[in-house]
Amino acid sequence: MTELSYFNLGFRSENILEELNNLIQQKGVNDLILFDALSIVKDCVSLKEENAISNNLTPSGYELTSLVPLVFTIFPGKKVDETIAQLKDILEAIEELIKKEKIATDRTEKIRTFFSTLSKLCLAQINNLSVERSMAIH
Amino acid sequence: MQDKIARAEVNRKLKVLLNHCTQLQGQFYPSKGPRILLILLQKIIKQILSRFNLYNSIQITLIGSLCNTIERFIGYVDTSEMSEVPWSIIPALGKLFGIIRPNCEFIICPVWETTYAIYNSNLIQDLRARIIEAPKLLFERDDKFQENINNFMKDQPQGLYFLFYPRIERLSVLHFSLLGHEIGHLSADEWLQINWSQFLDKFKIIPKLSEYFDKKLKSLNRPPQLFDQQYIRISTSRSLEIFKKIMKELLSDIFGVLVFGPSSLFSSYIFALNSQFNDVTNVSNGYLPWRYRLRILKRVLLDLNIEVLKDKFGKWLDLVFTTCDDQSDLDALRTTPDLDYILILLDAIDKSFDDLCGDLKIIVRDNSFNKISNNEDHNEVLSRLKDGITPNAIMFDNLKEKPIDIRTIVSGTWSYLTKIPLDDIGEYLKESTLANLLSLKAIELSTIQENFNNDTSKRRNN
Repeated sequence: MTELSYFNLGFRSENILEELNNLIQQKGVNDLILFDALSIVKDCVSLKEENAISNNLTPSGYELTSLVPLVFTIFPGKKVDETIAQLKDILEAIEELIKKEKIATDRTEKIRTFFSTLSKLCLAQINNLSVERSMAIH
Repeated sequence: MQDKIARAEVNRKLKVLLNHCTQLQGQFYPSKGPRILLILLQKIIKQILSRFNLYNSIQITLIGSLCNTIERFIGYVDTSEMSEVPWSIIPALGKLFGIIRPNCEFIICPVWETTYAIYNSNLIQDLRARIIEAPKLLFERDDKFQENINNFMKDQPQGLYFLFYPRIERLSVLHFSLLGHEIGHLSADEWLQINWSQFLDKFKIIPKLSEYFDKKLKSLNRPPQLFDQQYIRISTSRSLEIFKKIMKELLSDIFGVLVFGPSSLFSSYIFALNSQFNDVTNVSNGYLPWRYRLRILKRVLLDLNIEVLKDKFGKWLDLVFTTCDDQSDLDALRTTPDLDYILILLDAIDKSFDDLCGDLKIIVRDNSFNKISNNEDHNEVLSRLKDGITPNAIMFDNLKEKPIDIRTIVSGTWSYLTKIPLDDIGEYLKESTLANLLSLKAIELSTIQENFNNDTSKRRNN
């Protein structure tokens, strides 16, 4: 169910952005939301280009066909292996945050940008699907 | 200000949808599924409204898009109201559905197009995983999160599925068996999850595909290039996805004929007349030429005594079998550019056919057509239809009645149909329409009688 998957991913991304804002403003942070962020990025790190046409699911249960078009466009101009390298860096940064370690501002910003872009892409994909559906009827 | 307008609009939409969920619960539905879904959607919307001020503006926009999806689901439920569906076959369909999905419900949705389909994503699972378990949507992400979700989902069935069928066939019992194929999709998915990798390994499909695409590159007679290996890898991957879709359809075909017997063959033949028997245009969507698919159905049916089949279905059977036996569909695949690799899969299917059927027979168990069909019941259906009586039961000398299995009713109706001369289409339609209506009623009566007999027997044993 692709629209629901995009909804779920977009909504969770927004939750994570709010927690990162709390972190930057040195307010209380919900660790469970950070674990959520970790699981999303872990899903992304395991992707391969061929997955774009696979009917399988990620470990979190997202359709690969839903996730791949998003992830490989999040870093414009970057090739697949460069994208995966970026994602691995984000993964490490989140793991450090969960361990309550201080991380550099630019790495926090990297996490923020990732989830902000992911959220917007999810919304765009939902709109896309809706338009395709209307065009199919007409 | 823009944010406030957007919030007001989404809030309004949610309330309108909530209103519809409440109103639609007042309609009559032929199965439990519609009401279950309406109540669940109602709960979801109420919970979202109760937390509305906690969402940020992007989340509000996302919820706005969620409203569109909910709206669509409500639309399906709205069309599944009693007057629009073949409600007399619903209890029978429920029984068949229960073969492979016990404790699950379905919603039968008529559509104004010639399509039979199942939304083979479990809606309960999807709504739970994507909406109800979305952190901070319905519940705070805290240590009570899981407990809240479990309470919210209490008393829900294990699954809920949409089944789509052509509204135009509401009064056609003959096409009932095509829904067997759709239900078979659920078993096909399970089979693929468990067995697909083994199947690929056993028949060395991946190496054969790689070799095929390598040969294609070599036939270009040019030096090897940088992205050749990537081309082989991606082409193989793409081909495997198409193979998976094809297997899904074929396994569903086999399921359909195991459960419905000859009815499945004839209804598929009639459906195939909408296109051409060697049509290869939809192979990449998993649909092999109909001639091939009919040949598969025939192969499964040969478990039945072929002479008995000929006796029951005569010239129609000869026609369908002749159509199958012509192998021009394989030539079409062989000679269509970029489709001949499909033969790699068909070779594997041919070699593993008995095993595939064996696996599905285990799922179907005692509910296979072979186990329930008998000549006495079949002949009773024919005899009653000839006399213009509902063919729902066989009466014994002591005036006791035994309900006839719904699949024998459908099969018997096909048999009756094959004996009506086609010279005068008007007469043929008149007789076949009457037979259809009598059989629809028979299916309803047979199911009611069987349920009554089972209940009575249980009470006596208690």
